Amino acid sequence: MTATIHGMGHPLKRKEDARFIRGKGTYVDDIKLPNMLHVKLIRSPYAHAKIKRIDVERALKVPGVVAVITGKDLQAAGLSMMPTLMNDRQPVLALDKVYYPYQEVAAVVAEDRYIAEDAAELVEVEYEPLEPVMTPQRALEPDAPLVRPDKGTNKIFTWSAGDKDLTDRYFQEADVIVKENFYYHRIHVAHMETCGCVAHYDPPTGKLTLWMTTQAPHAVRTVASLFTKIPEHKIRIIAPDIGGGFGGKVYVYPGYVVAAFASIMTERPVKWIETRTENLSSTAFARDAYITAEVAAKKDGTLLALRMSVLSDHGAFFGDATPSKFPFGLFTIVSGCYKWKAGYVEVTGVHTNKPPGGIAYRCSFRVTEAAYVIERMIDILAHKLGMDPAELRLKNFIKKEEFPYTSVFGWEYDSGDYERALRLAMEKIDYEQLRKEQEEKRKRGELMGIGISTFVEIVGAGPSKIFDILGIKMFESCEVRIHPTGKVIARFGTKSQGQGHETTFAQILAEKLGIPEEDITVEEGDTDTAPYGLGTYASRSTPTAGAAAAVTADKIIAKAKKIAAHLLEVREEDIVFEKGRFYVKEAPEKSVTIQDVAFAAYTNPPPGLEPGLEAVTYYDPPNMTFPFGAYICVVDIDRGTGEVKVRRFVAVDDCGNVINPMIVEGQIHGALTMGFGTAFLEEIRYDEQGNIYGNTFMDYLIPTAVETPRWETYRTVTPSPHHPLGAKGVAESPTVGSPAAFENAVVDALSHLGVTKIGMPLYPWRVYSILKEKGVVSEL
Amino acid sequence: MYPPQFEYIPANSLDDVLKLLDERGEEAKILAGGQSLIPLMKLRIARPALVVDINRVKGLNYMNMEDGSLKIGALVRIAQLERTKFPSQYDILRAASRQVADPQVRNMGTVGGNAAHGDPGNDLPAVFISLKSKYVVKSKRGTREIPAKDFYKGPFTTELRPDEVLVEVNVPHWDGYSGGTYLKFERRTGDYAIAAVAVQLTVDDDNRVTRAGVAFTNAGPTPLPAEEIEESIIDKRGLENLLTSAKNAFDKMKVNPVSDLRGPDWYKRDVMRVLLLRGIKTVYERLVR
Amino acid sequence: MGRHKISVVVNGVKKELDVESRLLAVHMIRELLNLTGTHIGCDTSNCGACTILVRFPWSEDFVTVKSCTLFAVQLDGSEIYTVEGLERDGRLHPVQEGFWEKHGLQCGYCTPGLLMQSAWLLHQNPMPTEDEIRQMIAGNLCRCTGYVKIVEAIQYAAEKLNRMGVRSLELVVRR
Repeated sequence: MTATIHGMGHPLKRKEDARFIRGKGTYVDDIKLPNMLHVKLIRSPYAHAKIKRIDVERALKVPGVVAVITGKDLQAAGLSMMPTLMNDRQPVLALDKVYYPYQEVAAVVAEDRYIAEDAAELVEVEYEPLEPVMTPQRALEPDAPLVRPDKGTNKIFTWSAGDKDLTDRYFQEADVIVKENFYYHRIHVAHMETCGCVAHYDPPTGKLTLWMTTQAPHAVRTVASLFTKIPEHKIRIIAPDIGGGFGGKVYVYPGYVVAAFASIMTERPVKWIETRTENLSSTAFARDAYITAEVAAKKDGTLLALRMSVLSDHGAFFGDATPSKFPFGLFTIVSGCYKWKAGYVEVTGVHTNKPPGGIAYRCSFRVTEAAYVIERMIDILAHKLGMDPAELRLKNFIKKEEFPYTSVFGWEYDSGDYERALRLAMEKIDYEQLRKEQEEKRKRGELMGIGISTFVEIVGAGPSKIFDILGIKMFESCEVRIHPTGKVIARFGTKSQGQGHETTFAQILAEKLGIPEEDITVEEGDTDTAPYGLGTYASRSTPTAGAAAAVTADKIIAKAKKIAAHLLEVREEDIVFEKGRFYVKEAPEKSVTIQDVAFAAYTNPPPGLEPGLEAVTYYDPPNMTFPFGAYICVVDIDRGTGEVKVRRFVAVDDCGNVINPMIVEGQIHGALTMGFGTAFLEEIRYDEQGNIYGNTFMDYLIPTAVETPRWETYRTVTPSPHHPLGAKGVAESPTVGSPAAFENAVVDALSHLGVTKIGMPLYPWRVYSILKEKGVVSEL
Repeated sequence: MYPPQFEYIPANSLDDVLKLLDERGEEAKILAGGQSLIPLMKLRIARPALVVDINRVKGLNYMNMEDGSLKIGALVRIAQLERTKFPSQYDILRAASRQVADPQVRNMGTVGGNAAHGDPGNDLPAVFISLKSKYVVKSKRGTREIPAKDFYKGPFTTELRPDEVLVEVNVPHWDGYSGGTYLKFERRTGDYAIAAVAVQLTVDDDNRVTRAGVAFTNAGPTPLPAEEIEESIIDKRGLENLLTSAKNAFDKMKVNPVSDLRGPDWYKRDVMRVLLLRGIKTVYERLVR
Repeated sequence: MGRHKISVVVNGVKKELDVESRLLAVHMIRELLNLTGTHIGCDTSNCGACTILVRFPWSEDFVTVKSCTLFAVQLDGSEIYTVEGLERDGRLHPVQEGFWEKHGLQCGYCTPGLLMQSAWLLHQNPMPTEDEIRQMIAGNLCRCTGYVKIVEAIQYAAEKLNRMGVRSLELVVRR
């Protein structure tokens, strides 16, 4: 029992990597069952059209084709309309109409994918195109076509938060008001593994097993059961290894339902794997919101109030992955790191002829939009006041002694030390020196900019009194069993998609139980074995499941103390537990190990005590956690092309106590890179006719190693007071915080020319057109 | 991701290839590196009935200096070009080849394929035009040499007839006072160019430009030779002089890049000009004494 | 329409296969050979998750190729290695070790392609600079890591190979 324990704070190599580096991971597409069929979906070329006719006869004649399924077939089975995460209904396969480009219209089921593809070309669909609604502004015009005649309006909701009257009053009293319009463009998570499933219906048992690319297997099972009327215990969802999720694998896509239906219909296993083009064209999007922001301040820079008006595009069906009570997510974190007297936010959500499924893209719900807007606005205000943006921030930060701090929108920020993070970032990048360099460069006509973003996130949904998805409370679970020989299996309701849960959760348990992490197996993703949980997204796993693990370990130790007392023949109160050892308070040499106790739990339990050593916890967090950070970015702009080169990027993150610093650093690097992609490269765009652009990896440009900056990362530690481990979520902070730093840097490079805004993505042509307008382009 | 059906014939000799093309050229596509053809087939945009694989044809992978000219066999992989240490007057070949797509694509992709495909976004055509190269094409009917600048007719349309195959790129002699570069500006590494320029110059003892080759990538429906610019700088000396001449010539040139996701047409035009001037500066400064 | 019998040495073992003309090499590897470590991440030859090592009959050298942009039939007479072939006699290749030690992977989906490309690039250039490494993995997209730790992983492998005094592919290719 001398194995070292690598608990909290240790950069432990990941357990899961043993299979991944050997090519032995099991992703959904790696699963092959005997006699398996393959699905190819036929999709709409139009954004909005009536379906006049679907003729499947020619396709059915292709040798190897087993079936061609249309919406009518699903209708006959009562399965044509599936529920979305916001309790809307969307067709699994289009019935009489298509609502968005690439909408699922029919499905070929065949012996192999090549045959399915051949046959799909022979399915004839006759469309009558209708005028599409491609922007939310158009959707609200009185003469706009109705996207959803069943709803009678293109407006989905209006939602507001904060105190409007008080906010208006502060705006009237303010010395300075700044206002700007932003469009946070539409992007896609583009996880490297596309979505897919293997559905296997077993007639003798009536059981449907679905291996699927999901971040939330348990919720999917419940919804599937309610939708299909198949009893919940007859549905088994297995999320095997997942090749990245970032929010894109929360949604339930029509392909999954089609595969399940096809398996039931053919009584054979059926696989559906989408192509990258299908993935980018039809699965969940992120952002796509127009935001008008206003900030009121005193002339000395003291912030007074903020007012935001949002017009958000949710596509043809309202299916955002967001807690039920928050149709525009946690956007009210828009108050950021600052003290305000008042704030007011109103959001109008509308339908357009775009695919549904607003998701977070590696952030907590709509937190990225909030952080981007407020961090841009602070810079705009600094510019207007002629103040240094760092100074303006430092002046208005919530001070560390003011936590817990209740924001103007009612969130109770658990802990923070924003000033320390910003000062550390300024020191690491040598902020003063950079400002001097900038001044000198400006004299020479060179364009260099420094961008700051100090953000706070809100993660770890959630307290169940506030947060639910389709009525299911957002708690999280952990079940730990210690076997007689002291080895452990721990199961969770979450599902790792690359975050390294098999390692970090084992480290938490190793720390708490005093059992080497190598003796602990972590399992997730199988609804037949794992305890019920809401899954992994929005940086909730450490705040919720991590906490559940800690609490579960405490329960086990409580019982183990009774067994140890029995073995050591003392009273339970006399037992002290420390690092895997139970000893007698007054006689520390008298001790037993947790392994001894585990063995005794099965072989020699105390009289009157249940044998065995296991516990389960459903953890309902008392509050969210509020990780934060300070980022500083330095850019140089090529006046000949508008190209922006990120010279340096210093990121200081604070996620409270760290379980595995190596994994945390990796998460930060990855999320920074997604923020970089968002700011400079990535965009899904539609034209007025409903044509989509950027829906292949030729045009949806995710960063390569070449242009990705060499991230410089640092950390401060401000523990969460309410989390059992003092930890906070982290994996998404940089996606939230970095885009504003990039744009602030580019704007800063041009601020002496009066530029306050560019707009993302920061395409070279976009930057160049501003250079041209300002007359500073270089011909050489 | 799942190409349509086709007939596949691996050719073992150039004669086999020419015979097949003679008989079935209209329905055939040549498969060399496949890095353009196969992606198009996966998306079912290209649907040839017959694919003639020339990878096994011997005698098409060579780089020879002969009679003062550099002869590059059609099956030379772009990665080979990237790794070959040519005499410095042919530096442009390395400079350009390392900017083509990505390493794996360059490992398969061939010089002949990149030249013959007719994609105005391909990088090597502008380079070969700037080097005043000729393409050697063969058919059962015989051999033709087509100047690279005359080879391209429209997007994916070239002088190549259905029974012909491009077998060699013939780069003429450039003396030791020559050099060139390929400047490519792209949205992201591996992408086709927003704009790119190939510049090849010879400078005499008086630092006078005696010979020039200039061509653009993605500047319109075809790789774009810029003879007006070449003429404008020949016999000129001094960097400022060259730049002014080139700029004026460029501004008079008919350049019609299309507006697309890479940027609006006016922007691409501006970038082409900047790259042109930078290219001339880089090469001239390297060559002057 | 056109099937072909081909012979390919896969991870050191000779395989005889019967393939349709249009079958992509990546599908041959995943579906016929059941080597599912080679992944598919896109349909436009951009992502590099399907990267394998090939020695074609017309060349003496191994090169990395995107197996989604190659027909299986083109491999007749070739020798290929996939990620499953990197480990030999129970010993991890230094690139595998490097990715594990330096946290060069998260979801693991792009990893096999990156491992193959790394093994090849270190064979070409045993002492690459950071810039050279970044250029040589430009055809491999990773969505999780931000590449910093991938670069460190490859540097780790380079150092180890140099210490061992062997060239990268000598540890891979079976004679």
